[in-house]
Amino acid sequence: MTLVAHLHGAPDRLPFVGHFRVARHAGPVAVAVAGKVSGRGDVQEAFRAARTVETALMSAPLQECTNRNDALSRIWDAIVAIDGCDLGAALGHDLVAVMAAQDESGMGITGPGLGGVWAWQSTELLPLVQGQHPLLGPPGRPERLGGVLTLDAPCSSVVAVAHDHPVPTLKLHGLARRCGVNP
Amino acid sequence: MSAIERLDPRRDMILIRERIERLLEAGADPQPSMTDLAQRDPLALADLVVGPKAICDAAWLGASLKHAETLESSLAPNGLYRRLVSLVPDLHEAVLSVAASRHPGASWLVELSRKTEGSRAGTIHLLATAGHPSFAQNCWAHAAAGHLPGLVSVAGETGRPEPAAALVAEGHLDAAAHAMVAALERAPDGPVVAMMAAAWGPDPVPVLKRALPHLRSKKVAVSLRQHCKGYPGFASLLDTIIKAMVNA
Repeated sequence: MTLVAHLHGAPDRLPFVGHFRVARHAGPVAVAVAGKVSGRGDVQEAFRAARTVETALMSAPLQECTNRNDALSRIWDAIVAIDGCDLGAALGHDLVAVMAAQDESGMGITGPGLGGVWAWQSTELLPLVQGQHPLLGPPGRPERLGGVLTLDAPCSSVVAVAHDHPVPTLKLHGLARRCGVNP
Repeated sequence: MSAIERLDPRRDMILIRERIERLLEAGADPQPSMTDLAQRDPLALADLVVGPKAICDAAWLGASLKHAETLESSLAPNGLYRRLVSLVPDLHEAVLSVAASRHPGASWLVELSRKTEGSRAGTIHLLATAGHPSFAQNCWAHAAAGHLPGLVSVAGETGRPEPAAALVAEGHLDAAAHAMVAALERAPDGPVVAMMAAAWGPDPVPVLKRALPHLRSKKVAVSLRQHCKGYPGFASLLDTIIKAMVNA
């Protein structure tokens, strides 16, 4: 059971300022998170903030998780526990993240600051969430996450665009590169 | 003193040409005559500098660079500097420097650099624009043109992170790693790793590993280690390498 999450880069010379990406597997649960923080800030500051988020995600206590919702909750707790001073000039209020967790009974997707989410399959992109949907909301670190999109049929790869992405549609060709995934 | 002050450019061009050629043969400074001509008839100056029967003398053409603004009023910059380089290849550095300082973000400088600098293409243009807002754009343009040694050289001379970021964005991973090390040698605290990650993606470890063969001093390795704290696996590998390094 492998699971990966991707956040589409910005249409810029430096598309991945403040981007982070983590994938973990613990017992019956697989978790994947991709996002950005301080994406409009200083490159070095955003880089440090992103590594801070990755470190927090890697050390989140997932070993005792029994299901995907528990895993998502612990992942979010790890993010909320980071001191805002370590998350760039906006103190984490600009955090965007797509968080996916999968167990034997299905898959859950959630996260702040998203503008659209797709299932990324080998030959096509299946829209999971677009337009007006409770999952799509403002960036930041609220104490409690909003809704969780539940999928009965899991997909191994999800891709999202941020709420401020200028064109909330995706093309499959070259998508990996545009998500900062390199061969 | 101008050798042509009593001649009329519209009527006496043959005489003007002869006097200037004689002046140059005698090793005299052509600048006063050139300034005189530039003030009175810029088109006549352009004819003698880059026209079909231009005076192909290094001193003459070198002096013309001080009148670049006047010459550009007669000929488009792209054609002007290209012609100057073709007339006196030995002057290419000076010509490129003037062109880059007057048109820092011009895309035609990329091709002109390749034509004149060969394997070091991009060096003069990028060094001349290192303090200009177009520097990043220029790095990306030279990286797209494949001017790898030039970008690595500029990274080493300026310590700026943009050359490495541009190289990695264009998929030149080995050159990017080389440029990263070169930049760190000059500016150990510079944000080169951060900018490479911003250009390439959040996991630049494959590029970081390619930097290892280029590490020649412990100081630079320690600096790279500082920037890679967020990548524990690579940082651990670097720790092992640093312990084995003997050079300061």
